Amino acid sequence: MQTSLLTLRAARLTVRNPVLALNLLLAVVFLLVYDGSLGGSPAILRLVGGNYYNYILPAAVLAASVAGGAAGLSVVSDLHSRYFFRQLTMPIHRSSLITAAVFVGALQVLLQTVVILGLGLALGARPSTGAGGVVVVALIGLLWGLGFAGYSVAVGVITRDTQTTSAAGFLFVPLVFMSPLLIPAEELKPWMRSAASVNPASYVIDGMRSLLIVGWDMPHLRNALVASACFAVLALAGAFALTRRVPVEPHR
Amino acid sequence: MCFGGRAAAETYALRDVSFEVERGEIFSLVGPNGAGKSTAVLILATLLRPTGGHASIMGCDVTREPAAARRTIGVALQETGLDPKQSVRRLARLHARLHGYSRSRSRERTDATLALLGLQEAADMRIARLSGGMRRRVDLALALLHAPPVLLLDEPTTGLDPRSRRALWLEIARLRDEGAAIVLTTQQLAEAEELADRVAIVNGGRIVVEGSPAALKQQMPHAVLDTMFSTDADAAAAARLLGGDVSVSGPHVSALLSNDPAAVSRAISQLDAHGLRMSALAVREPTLEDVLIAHTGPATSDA
Repeated sequence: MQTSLLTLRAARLTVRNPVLALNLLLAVVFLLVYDGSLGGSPAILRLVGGNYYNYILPAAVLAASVAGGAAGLSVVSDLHSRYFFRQLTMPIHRSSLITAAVFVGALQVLLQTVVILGLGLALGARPSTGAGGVVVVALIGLLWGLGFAGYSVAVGVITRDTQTTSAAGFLFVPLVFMSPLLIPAEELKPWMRSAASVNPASYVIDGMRSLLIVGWDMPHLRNALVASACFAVLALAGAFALTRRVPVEPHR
Repeated sequence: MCFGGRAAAETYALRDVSFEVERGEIFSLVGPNGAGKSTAVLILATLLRPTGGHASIMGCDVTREPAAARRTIGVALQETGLDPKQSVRRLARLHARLHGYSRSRSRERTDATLALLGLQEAADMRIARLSGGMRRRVDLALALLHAPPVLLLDEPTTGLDPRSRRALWLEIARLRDEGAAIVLTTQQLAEAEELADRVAIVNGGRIVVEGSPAALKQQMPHAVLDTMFSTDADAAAAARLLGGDVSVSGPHVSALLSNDPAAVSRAISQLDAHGLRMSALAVREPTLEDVLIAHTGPATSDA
């Protein structure tokens, strides 16, 4: 019950946060601008199988998953107001404080992913795996978003700074761009191809893409689920571990 | 309990501090800044782990059974810890629910507690819009919401105007009379004199003396000479001349005198002989502040 009460509180406060609307806007921009820039090129279309929305939709879904960073911002806000420490004096399990923030971050990711996928379908994406594949794409995006939620909570607990926690979302930039984000991996320069091969985002993108373009390609799908799940588990485990050790300053 | 670092040059915020507080008692920790008062409260509130010794609340060890200990405490720390984006009422109801009350019972407890602390009119205001004094009252309301048997109050009247402070004193005394065990830290000695059944003076992480306010004052010399001089320089010279337990604050000098009826006249003659003219003079009984200064060292100018 504690987790549900705290989640409700976090959700009520998050809804009022305009930054999350900006994140959705960024994801929409990814979708529209990249299709506008590259989706009309016959050469590009030949490379990506003919439908650039199918190809670029994973990038927009990953952009939407950064909304998981709302979790870290809500924790930083509670640390600044010292409400976090008041909660620690109550019979509340410490993990409930983080779980609530992460739940709300995940909800944000899910909502934005649904909007992006809906927009992509409306604009012309035609997933070869149908509705089932779209659901799995959303699940992979949600797992990746959970990883971002845990990562942002960890940064928030360590730095206790709103700007740093927000800026930490810029991890998204190299993660997503050092991958077959815009064109297939075999077309990348050798150094970029090497970087992409060790980038977990590459496997997430390839897995989503295989569902949208190819079909139920189990090896790609498995790699995507493993990469996103590992990111989520490691980031969340780190967040929970750091929260158990939050030092209390007697007073400022 | 102890609380300190593990580095080679160890610093202890608390060392060998021991006390017990009964139900229906207010126990006050007083002392200078950095004495360790707040650290003691943070340990009891399960926010800090003692590095040595043990602490327990209502039989629950705060280190081994922190969750059980937290169910018995209400805490108001030196800095308020409130969610600025919520209204007073919504925050209080959430806290009541988190303490296990049902939805309807949470509403009842919230309304009753807010009424007790004069917060009904502000109940639907967001915390961020409240004054510092109002936030302090909301902070205390959250500590009292679940009628805890133990209250930990760390300088609870900081920032309150005199009227609000008095109202809070009455409330704290009422809670004591209803059976709560209250640990109160304060830098306002008048507060400790007014409220506390027992006072412990903490200095350098240790309790240097403990007892009821009356008993502590009776241990002191029987007179305090309060004098005012026309210049700070004269006051400083007077303090050097008198020696012993003397505190200086600008042109004001307080000196603790021995239990000798002639001590006052001797002190005045001494000052007069050195040409130190007093603009004001008073002889009074020692206060708790004098006890504190005697045990923690003389105060220098407030500037």
